Amino acid sequence: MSLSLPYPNLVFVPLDVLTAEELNNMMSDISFIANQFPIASTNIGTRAVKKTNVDWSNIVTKTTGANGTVLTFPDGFKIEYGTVSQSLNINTSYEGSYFGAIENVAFPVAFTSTPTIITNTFQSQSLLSTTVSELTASKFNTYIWKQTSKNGVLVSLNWVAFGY
Amino acid sequence: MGFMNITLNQVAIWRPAGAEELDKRLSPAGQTYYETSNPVAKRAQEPLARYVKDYAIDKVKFSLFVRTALQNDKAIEESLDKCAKALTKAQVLEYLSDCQGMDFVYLPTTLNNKGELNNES
Repeated sequence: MSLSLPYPNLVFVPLDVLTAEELNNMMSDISFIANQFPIASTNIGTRAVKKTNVDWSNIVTKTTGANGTVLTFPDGFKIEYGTVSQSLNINTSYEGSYFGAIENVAFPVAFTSTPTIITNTFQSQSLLSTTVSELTASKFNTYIWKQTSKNGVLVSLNWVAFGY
Repeated sequence: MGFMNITLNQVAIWRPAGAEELDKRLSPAGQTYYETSNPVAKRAQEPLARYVKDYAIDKVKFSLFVRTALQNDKAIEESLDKCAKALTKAQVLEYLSDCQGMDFVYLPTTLNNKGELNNES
């Protein structure tokens, strides 16, 4: 729904002396808004400001961190997310031995300590060219991840970390 | 909402005023105003002019306005342009955070009797 005020584009600065005509125009605009969006209706909550009209670039900054994308909110809250993957020749000799300790994890899972699946699989064994060392830092207090396995071998990990 | 006074020849910053081009407005004589160097209120014997123009720095929109007894449109517009150019985005955001409702912020910038920026500002 597109709206246009009866008297749009008014130039106004605080302490301006308003003429009687301007006061009339102002009341016309106010009554228009009041009639379009009655207080009892839900229109203001759902339609008045479209999310597409919000300039999110001024609210949430998006940068590329060492391990993935970082979203920073005005109060310092950060959300990092990314994907770590490895390409291995799926060999039956890996199955059940080298990666035998991998546990199946349901998504989403939140926890407060460093997940063993990350330290064991991605750091100690160094099977990935990309590490997720950022995840082990204590600055994030919650992690969520989703793993993808093929023949029992972990091939990719989608992760999200958030906190201050 | 704070109570704001009219200080002549002192540039102020506010939220966008709807003036993409320089907007001039004459107020009737009798307005109460202050001078930057004098804390005693005076009553205008002649109409005062209010100039305002909108600016933007990296999508951050704001307006600069000034009330003055001068009516040198061109010089005042140039002064407002120069003043806007000297502001950084961080400064503007800081000022705008104080511009709630009808509140505005006076900048340390003042105009001389020709409508130009004073050297010290």
